[in-house]
Amino acid sequence: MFEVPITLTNKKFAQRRKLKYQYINHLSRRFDRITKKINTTDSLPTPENSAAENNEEDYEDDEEERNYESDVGESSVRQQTKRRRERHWKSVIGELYSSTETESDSQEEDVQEGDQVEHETRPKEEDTDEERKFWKKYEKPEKSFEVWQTVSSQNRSPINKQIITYHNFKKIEKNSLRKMEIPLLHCTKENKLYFQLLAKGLEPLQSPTSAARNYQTRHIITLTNLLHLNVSRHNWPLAYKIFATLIRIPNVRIKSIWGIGVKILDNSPNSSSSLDFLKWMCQVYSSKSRFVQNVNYRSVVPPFQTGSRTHTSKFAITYLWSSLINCQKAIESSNVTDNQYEVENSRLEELIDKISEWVLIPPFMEDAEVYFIYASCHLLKADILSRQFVNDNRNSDLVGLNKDININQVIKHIHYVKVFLQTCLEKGGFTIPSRLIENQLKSFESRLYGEAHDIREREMVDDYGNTDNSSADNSFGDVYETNAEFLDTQLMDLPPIENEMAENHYSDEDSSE
Amino acid sequence: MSTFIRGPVCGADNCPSRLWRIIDGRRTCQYGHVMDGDVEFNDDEDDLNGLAAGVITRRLNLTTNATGSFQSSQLSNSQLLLQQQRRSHKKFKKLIGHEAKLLFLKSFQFILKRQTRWLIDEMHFPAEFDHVVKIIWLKLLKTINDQPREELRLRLHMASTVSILYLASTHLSLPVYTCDYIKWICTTKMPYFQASELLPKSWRTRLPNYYISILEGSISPFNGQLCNKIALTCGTIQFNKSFNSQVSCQGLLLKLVMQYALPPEFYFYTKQIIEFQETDIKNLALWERIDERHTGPISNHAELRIISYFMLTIHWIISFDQDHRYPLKWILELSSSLTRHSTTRESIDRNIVNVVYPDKSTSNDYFQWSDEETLQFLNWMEKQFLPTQTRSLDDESGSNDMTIDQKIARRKLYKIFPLDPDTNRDHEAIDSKHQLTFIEDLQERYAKQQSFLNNNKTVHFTTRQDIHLPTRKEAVNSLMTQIASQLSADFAISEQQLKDCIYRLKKACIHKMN
Repeated sequence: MFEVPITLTNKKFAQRRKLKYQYINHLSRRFDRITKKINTTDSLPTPENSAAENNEEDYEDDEEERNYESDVGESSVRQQTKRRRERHWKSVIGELYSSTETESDSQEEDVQEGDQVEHETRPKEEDTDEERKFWKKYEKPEKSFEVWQTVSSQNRSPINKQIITYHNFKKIEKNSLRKMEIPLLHCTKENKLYFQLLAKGLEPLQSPTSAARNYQTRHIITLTNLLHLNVSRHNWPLAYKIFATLIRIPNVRIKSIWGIGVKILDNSPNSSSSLDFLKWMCQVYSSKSRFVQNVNYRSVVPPFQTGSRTHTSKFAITYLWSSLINCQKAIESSNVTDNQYEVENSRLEELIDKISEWVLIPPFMEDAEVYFIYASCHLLKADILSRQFVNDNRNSDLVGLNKDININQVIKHIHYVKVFLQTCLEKGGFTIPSRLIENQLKSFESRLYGEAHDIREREMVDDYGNTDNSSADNSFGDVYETNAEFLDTQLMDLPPIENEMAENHYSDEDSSE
Repeated sequence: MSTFIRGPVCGADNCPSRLWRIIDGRRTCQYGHVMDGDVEFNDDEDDLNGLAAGVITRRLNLTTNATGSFQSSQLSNSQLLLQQQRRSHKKFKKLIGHEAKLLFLKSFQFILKRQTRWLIDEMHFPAEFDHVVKIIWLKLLKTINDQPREELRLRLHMASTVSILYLASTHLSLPVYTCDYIKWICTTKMPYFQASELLPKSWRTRLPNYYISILEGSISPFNGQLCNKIALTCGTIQFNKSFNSQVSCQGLLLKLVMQYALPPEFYFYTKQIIEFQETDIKNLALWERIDERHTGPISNHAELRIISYFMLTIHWIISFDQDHRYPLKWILELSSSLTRHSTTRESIDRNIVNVVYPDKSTSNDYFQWSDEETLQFLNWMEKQFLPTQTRSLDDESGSNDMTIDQKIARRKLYKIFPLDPDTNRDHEAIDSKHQLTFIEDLQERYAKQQSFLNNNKTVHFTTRQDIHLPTRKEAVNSLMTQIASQLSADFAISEQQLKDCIYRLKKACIHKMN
């Protein structure tokens, strides 16, 4: 019923898959031959593809299309060989071409086309893994379940609109079925039935898990179902017990159920915190291997379960977010004078340290979201530091040199926020409420100077204090106007060199402290 | 850097240290040994993202990755070599050919012995049981020994252990049946699943994987496999010649009647039918199957015949009764009592057995489990199931397949998720007190029926008026379906097989009556 956190593999399933893909591949090959199309693209009807379609229709007639396509076919084959050679050389040299990787990955489709052409001309080619052959045609999504290729225009291809007659269709089907007869001879009765079912377009009612007989597997299935059931009933103590039992059974993949585990820990009062668990996940499953398009990820769905060199794992992101939110909550609730406050403050420091280490290594250094979290940390820090000026006006500490130091610290953090937000925007792929944050920063800064602004700023903090992380719409900003002339960083639209100098200055102070 | 980091064992000059620190960029253990090939250098580019200038650069590769290994280095060369040597040592090599078969027989015997001992110790089987098992096993060994050595086929499976035990208990006329054995193995009380873990370590390492997988017993017997195996074992050693092969029918009947809380007269009805059809109740003997390939009709098995007669009796008696003795309400009460979830030990065991078989209609019952039942199931999981799963993992020296890093990681995970936080324990203690015994539960069920059976005269008229009640035929059918699904799960046969068996016997009965 629910996804089982183990890999179900046995001979039966392997045989089924093999039959299925053999049939599909053969069908599509026959189809190509009959429709006499050399450059079939088995692409899905994506918006881009239909856009490409429309463009073509603008300037092309039906008669020309054939010529055009064959032209494209030839040129694309040439292009592919060139590209392939290029990739080969790159791999020989050992160059890291991570920036071009997405592009070259998306060209996999074209490469496969070329393979098919070759296959047609040389039918006696070695028989490779049918499943891999099938999946090569499709882009395997790493970050999300679907990939719409909008990046390169080369991939745009018209939707295959050719119509085949029912007679032709039957012919193809018959031929493929005849071809399948031999492999079907060697398989079990059950699998034969299964295949015939699929070939007729029916869906077998029996899922792989419902038929599993293995003693251990049965219990894992039961526990998984009970887990989902009890989580949905909000029966946390029971769910906790089930989860604790489940992870103790060997072979259970914790990577596919970590989300439930975090939820359970959040809701159980007397247990260790979910942060510990997430930390454990990050430490143990910090995979930095490259995501390989050619591999069929049968058991592990990459988006939620693992990370790779180019993709930050979801549990790492969750870890960062929840530790940031934890810090924020704890600091909001505690008083400045408290002992607790110091602890929380140091935890925030630790978090900042940790992220600053993380952004130096591959999956995180390219992730916009991580940078946004990094910026948010500094935002929180700046908020805390600048609040001292509002609350403790009469504090005797904040005079003279001490005051200057504190002001400098706040400005340093504000500066960091800006830098990291900029990085985040450069990396792209993540929307942020930049206007809102800018206003927030302005208010922090104005706390440092004018008492005159005090009241207004306080209101503003109250309004935004809790929502700064959420992506609320950012049109509010205009309402509040601050006197930009008073503020240092607002005018500090410095060229990079000066920026660095400014940083230099701050960090010197840091080390002297 | 004065803090120590936990890592792999140092191992240089038998150094036991696991604590490491960095001195001058080299990893050094507690006692000053320097790790080979682990030089750390600062290779960050200086202006990373244009802000690193002036910021203190950090070293990246200081930390262990919490699985305990250092991210920058694997095991040192000497340690790797040591491991490889240990692997390739003669003592750890897998056996092949005839020797492997001998070792397998030894292991099989070992498990059989463990099972027998469990039955005698825990289930209080008579001490003679041990001898009988031995004799049967020797007979079986003799048939194996008689085969030519070149084409020796053992034909042993974990189900064979159960069939040997079953034959022994039949010989002693113990009131123990296939359903009991199925229950014991499915609740992992009797060693069956993962039984290979019981073997001495030196045997397990040398036994070929194929045989180990046999001894794991991964799939519980289904679709009458156990009955067929028993019949085959019976045939190979010609059991009927030298042993008492008569199934103790009375015990089974009593068990069935009690299980469904039927009035006692059903016991006698069934007995009469059996005596009528089989001419004598003593004729119910074990079937010896000689043919290896074909299993033959399922109704050959004595036990299955008995349960079929039992079902046939219920069906006939209740159908032809026409509300005289057994009113409709009683039937409804009976069938609802079958689905009622209680937490006696028997019903928990039944729940577990049901879960194991995927194609039964009862296999998805756990969607209706109460919290109490779920808790009991989890307790069983924790106490009985998990130990069998992780037996080899628990003794630290025994598990070669896990690296030290994985062990550390696992231990940390278990610390995050302790199995029983203290809050649960008190709760459980209270619960276990309230657990009904089988007798109490049975009394309760009989007491509930009593009102329907005694004053059936008054009930008789009220039932007629109630429109919402199903007709008598429907009620009987649903009752029979429920009993059938339970019985087929208990005896590990498919419902179709049970149906076939009943049909066959019904035809035979009617034929004889005419």
